[in-house]
Amino acid sequence: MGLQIFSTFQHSHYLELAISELKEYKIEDIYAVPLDNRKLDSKMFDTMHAMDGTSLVDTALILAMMCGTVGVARGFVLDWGPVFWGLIGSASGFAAGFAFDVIKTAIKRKKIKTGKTRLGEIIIIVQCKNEQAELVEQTLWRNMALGVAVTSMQSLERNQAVLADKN
Amino acid sequence: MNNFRNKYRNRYYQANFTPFGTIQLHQRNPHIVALWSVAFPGFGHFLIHKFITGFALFFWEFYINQVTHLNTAMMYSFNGDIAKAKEILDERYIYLYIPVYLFAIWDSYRTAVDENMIHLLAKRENAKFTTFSINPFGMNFISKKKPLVAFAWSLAFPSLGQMYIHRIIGALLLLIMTIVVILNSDLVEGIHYCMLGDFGRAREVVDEQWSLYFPSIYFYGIYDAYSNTVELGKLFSWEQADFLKRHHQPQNFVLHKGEKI
Repeated sequence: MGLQIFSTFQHSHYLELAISELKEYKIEDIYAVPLDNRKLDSKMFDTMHAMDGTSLVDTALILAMMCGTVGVARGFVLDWGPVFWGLIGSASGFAAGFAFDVIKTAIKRKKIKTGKTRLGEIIIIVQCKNEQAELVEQTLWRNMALGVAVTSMQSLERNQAVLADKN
Repeated sequence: MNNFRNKYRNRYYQANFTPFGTIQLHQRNPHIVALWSVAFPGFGHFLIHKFITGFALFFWEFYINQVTHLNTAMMYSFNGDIAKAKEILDERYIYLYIPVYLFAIWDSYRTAVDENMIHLLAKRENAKFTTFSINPFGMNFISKKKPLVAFAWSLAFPSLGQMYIHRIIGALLLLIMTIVVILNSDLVEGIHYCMLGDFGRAREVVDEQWSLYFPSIYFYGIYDAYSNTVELGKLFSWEQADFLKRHHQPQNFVLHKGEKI
């Protein structure tokens, strides 16, 4: 009797490596379900695995550029010179823009209360024979699966038993 | 060599990966694009991948700025020394500046709006696009990169963030510009004297005409690298999900209930 192994992944090359490796072992019964992403994430900063398109540096960098240019120019007259005034101008411009975006985003997020950070992005279901379970499980773990669950196919056994009874 | 051959040509594509760079359509705020054109004509166009227009505008602004001493005039104006600003500006060229400057802002805004629409159409059409290419000049493929890493490399030196995400043409321009501006403005020497606490000396060695280019180039480099890395990550996830749906959802796969072992 076979097993069905459920696992969750994030989008990465590892996922495709896992699938191709399983196919090398002649395990072909693989079903993938990519999940839709939550529209608004509670995380403020973009990471490799969670990007929500809310940028906190758009306004900040524009202001840093503007204040930096003015700072350099002012520095030719002020005491500390153009380099330091340019840096001060840029830093304060960046800080002001960043604070503006953070506050703006915080207000926006308050309206849409969200839970914890996103984890699984794809569900992969692999069907295999009992003796292959260990191999499949290890392959999934090695390729950065977030979670793996091995389940027996009891409903299939029951269906077959019912069919046998009828005959 | 491409890993993808299109039997029926599609109308729009979301992206293209070639050894000369990664080009990707994505939603942008046209106001931000226009503001980068305000910072430096050409930057708005680089953001929206209109590299040739961007080059033309960039070098034009650079040339006019040099011959009219616009940066120096800006420095005097910000310091309230209007008389000196009037004196240094070259009236033979300065009128040429205005129309092209405004065109750069207007055109980058307009193109960004257009590209947003095209991106929407391309996304709805959902055409497959080249995600891997290889030729004698090198190779390029779709992969996920970390936005903060791109940010940090750009912070260290403009153009490194672009190299990280394989935006080669933008990276090349930024690299050349940064070196030319840094060398001509003696910024490094200025930093050296500032570290030593000799601010008067620093002010003497730093060239005002050249050093005023630096903030726009530096912050544009960070913004371009960061925002494109974020969008590249989104594209990667979207493309992989699409691939899985096309190739790994067999009709005969049946789900069975059972205890977890």
